[in-house]
Amino acid sequence: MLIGLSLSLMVMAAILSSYVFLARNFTRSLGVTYAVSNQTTLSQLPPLEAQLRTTLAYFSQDVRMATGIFGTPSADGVTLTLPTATGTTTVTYAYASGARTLTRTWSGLSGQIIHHNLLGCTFSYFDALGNPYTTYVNNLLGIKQLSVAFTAQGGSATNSTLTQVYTGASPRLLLRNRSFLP
Amino acid sequence: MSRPFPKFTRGAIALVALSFVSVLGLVLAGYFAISQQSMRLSNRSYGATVSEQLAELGLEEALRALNTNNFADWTSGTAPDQTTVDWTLTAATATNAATATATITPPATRYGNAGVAGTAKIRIDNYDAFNRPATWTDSTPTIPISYRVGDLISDAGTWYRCVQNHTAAAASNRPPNLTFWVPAPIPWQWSSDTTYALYDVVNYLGIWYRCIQANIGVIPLNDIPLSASPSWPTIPASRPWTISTSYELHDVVRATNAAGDVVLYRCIDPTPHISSLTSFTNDSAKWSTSVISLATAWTGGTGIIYTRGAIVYNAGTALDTGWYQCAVSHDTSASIDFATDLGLGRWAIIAPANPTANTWSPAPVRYVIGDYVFESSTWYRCLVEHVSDPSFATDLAAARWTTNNSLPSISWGWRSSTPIPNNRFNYNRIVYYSASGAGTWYRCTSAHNNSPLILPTGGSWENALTDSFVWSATANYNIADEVFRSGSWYRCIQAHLNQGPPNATFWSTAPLNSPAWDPGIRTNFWSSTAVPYKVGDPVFYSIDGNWYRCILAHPSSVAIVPTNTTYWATTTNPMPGRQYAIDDMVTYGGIWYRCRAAHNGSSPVTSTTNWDSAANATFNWTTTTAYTTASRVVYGGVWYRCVLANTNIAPGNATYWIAMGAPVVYAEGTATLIRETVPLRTQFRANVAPAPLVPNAVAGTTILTISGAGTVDSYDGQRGTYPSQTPGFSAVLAAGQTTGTAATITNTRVHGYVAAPSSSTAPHAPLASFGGSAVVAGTTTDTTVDQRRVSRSPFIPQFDTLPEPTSSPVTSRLASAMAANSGAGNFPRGTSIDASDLSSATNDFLILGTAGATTPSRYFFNANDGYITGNLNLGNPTTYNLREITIVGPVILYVNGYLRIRGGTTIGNAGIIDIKSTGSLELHCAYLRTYSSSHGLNNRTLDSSKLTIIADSAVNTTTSLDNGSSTVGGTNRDFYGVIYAPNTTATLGLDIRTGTQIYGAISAREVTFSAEANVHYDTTLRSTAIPGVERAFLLTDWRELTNPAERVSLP
Repeated sequence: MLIGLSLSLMVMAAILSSYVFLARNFTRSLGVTYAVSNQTTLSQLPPLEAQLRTTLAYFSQDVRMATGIFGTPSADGVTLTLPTATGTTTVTYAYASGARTLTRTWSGLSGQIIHHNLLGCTFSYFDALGNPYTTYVNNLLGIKQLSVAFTAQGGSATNSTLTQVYTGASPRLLLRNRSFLP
Repeated sequence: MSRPFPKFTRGAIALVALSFVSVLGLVLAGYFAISQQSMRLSNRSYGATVSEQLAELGLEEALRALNTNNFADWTSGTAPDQTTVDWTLTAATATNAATATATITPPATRYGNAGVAGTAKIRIDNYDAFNRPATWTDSTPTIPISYRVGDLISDAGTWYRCVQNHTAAAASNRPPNLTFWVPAPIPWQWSSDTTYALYDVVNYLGIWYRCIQANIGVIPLNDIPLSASPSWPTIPASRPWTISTSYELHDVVRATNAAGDVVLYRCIDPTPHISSLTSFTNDSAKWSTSVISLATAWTGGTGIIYTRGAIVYNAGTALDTGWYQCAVSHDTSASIDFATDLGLGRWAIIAPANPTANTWSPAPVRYVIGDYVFESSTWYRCLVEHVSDPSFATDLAAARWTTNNSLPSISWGWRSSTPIPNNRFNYNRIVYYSASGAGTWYRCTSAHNNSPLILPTGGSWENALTDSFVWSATANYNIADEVFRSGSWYRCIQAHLNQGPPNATFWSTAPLNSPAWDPGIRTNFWSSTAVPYKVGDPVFYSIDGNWYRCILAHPSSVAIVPTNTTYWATTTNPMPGRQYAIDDMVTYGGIWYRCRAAHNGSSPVTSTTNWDSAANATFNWTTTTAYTTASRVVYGGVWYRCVLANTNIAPGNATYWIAMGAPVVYAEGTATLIRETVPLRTQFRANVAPAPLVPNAVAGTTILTISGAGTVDSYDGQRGTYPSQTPGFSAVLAAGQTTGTAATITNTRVHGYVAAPSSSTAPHAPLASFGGSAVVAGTTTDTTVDQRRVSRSPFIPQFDTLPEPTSSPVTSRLASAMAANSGAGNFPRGTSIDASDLSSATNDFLILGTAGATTPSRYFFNANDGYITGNLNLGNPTTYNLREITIVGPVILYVNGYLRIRGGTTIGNAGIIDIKSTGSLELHCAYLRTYSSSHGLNNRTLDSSKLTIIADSAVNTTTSLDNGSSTVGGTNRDFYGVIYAPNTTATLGLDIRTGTQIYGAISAREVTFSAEANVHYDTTLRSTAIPGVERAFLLTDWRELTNPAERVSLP
């Protein structure tokens, strides 16, 4: 009897551990959140990893193609000018700290949230030498590189399903399509 | 004693264990499935990155091939670690652009991930856009070839310049038909700086003229009474066809034919008629293109038709010998002799037979070598200086005359004497000479007074077709270098050493058909500053982009602009510049333009009636339009012609569209993953253009210092002169030093931008210092430094100078080239200017170049100028021998040491380099210094691209520009040009002194304005190829084609 109970407890412990591990992993991957926004239901949210990959793919593709920065950039967002077959358009990246989302918006279209569950999101700008911009008023013509870094966390504190903080960052991406003039 | 578990208990435990194991299995299976999906996602993400990198690899390879013009296959490494590149070139057809395609296969072992395979594919439409050979070709039904004045082609190894618009509809139009073509480098173009002798023939503004009075600087004019232009009657004179005008038999007019070309017509209607009210086409049956255009001596007889305006010389009696112009078109069959013709009032005398007739005279006349005479219906050339015998037969028998090589019968021939006193043959003067029948062209290599003792076959002359351009096995050739070998001309199309023509990989027999917009001669900008315009003067009025011809002499002023019809008329004549036909494609300012109407050299920026801009959204391709083969659209900055009717098929699809003019690069990377059936693809589309050397107004790769005030702004040189337009705000001052202060702007007003690297410490401010009165602004009202216009990322291109150095310092390779007879070592051949050319006090000037020449004339200076060997000092000829260099054609001048333009003992003998309206100068020297007391560099073209100074030595000697004054106490001369001094180590770098206005751009290692900076950046330099430096291309823009409908199929 005792042997049976011991075996059962060991198996149960293993299963429980596996369950907790998988649950946490699923939570992180699936991006379960306590703050669901924009009519996005839990089941519709992509995994955090997929959100990360999607965000980095969009961002790197857009920055590499951008012919310049439109308007004044900031740590919370940037608008890029992109070439099209018949002219140019713009795409805007905007981080909303309240909603914990990063939105990508094409000119004339409604925005698309490409990342939820963000704890923070920071856009950084660099000149040709790689020195960063610490303010966003002067000398912005010299911006030649961009990067974005963000942290995300899934789960809920109320039911103790908070995941570890998930960190993502792009490399410094060159504005390779930018005019050679300042 | 133990008791076994009850059987039911054992079963329950087993069931529980089994359930647990099952649950665990399901959980693990799910976990594995998720992990696999995650791995797949990761792999596909990796694959997508690989495909992007491969596509970028494709762009890089395309740029490499374009930069080197090398589309040969190549491999790198050894299998299995081998990369292979396989290029295929496809010639242009009526429905396809010239295309280069390639497949790059990197080694599969280099992906760091087993099972990944990748390729990159490339397609370049119009890959030869900037290296397109111009070879004569006949018309076909699908590709009509319209040649325009100034077009340069090659045929049978010789280059020809088009001198009359025509369509190559028949083989009879083919060179050497001199009606349409003259072989280069014949000095066919009229120049204000050439002394013309009797019978010289020139082409000016597309019309041929014959010199009947020796002159210099007399402009040939058409459509005015001959009495007003006695020196240059046209051949024949003609007038434009006009509506509602009375025309008679044999009248000759100029009119535009159906192909859009202006040609001569002779009236064949025996009955006088009033021309159509609408167009020449309606009257075309009354006209014939059979026109006698080169009559020289009057000849009577049936069928000899003289048209009104034709010029003849009559050698008759003392009373009627002379030049005559036909006043009434007629057939000479009714006349027995000229006197009868003259008596009928058909001729008007235009110049007496003075000083020389070209009809042989039995009287004791001294003939000199090269003289032409007309005798017994035949032209003869004098071979031996002599006094005429009473019988021409005697002279002929004595071999004093020859009929050989009578073409060109009356022009460009070397003459041992001319009516011009003190006539000289200047440097590079090209003449035709034949002493024994095997004539050819000769170039003067040492200026001298003409003399029967200095024959072109002797010293001071060289074979103009060969000697300066002979191919050398020891010379490094760069793209666009030209050589002559085995009877043919060749143009280098790929840099190399010791690959002799006709190796087609490295040499082409055709000159370039440049896509860059060329307005032609740009000296005729209208000016309001009291220019004494006279009847016939052509001007370009930049305000409306039109050419005008003066119809009433007047001093110009702001009150009399060319639109004033009392003084000016829109010209109907061919005007200076290139002529363009419909669908001609040119690039200007980084934008491609399509010619929409045949015209003559109007600016694509200002003339919207003649040009359609690719930047005009009106012409953009749309998804909803039904396109036909007549359609022309813009897509991605490039013009496309529809070759197959379609709707909603994006240009790029070569079945339906053909890219016009501009090169377009497609590059696609494909990554195939293991266990993935659909490969990952990334496709890019990119536009290509020549990279600019001087995108900045002033740039110092280390330091830029402006000590005073002044104004820095911009203008568009192709729109007109700086004063004729509102200056822009596009000038950039750039400095590249990354420590200390890179740019110091004291009190200058900068209408544009300043760029300097950032400091290494936060907040990483630009290393630029501004004085209290400095302004950096985007408007005329700003009074402060707008930091938004100050950049932290300067861009200062540095291209290698050509020829590429083989040793340093730079002077040694120049010296070696010159020591080896001006053409060995690393330099193409050229003319060496030696001490004897400079030793005479009366020869204190050199005239270099040939007006209208096809290829630049190269000169090497390593002589003793009376001061220091190898260095060239201009000014004060008693000390330095040489005072002035006049540039009348395209010239490349290498000076072994420094070039200094000095003052003189008087203002009259101060030094100067004078670039005439037909000239351009690419000057290489160790370093440059001009003095305030000199006359400086006088670029009369007012075109900054016509003067490039490359001072590329790393010497610590003052290099300065102080573009002296033209008069005593006068202001400094404006400098139009580009200075490139990338290596100077002088204390101040390139030192720009006070009083100098610069129109153009400067790029140097260090630049100092000792006082104020007045720089007016010519924005055309952003898209102008600068000679003398390496040619490079860049991707002007590119984008990823994410829409499947946009993607193209790559082979």
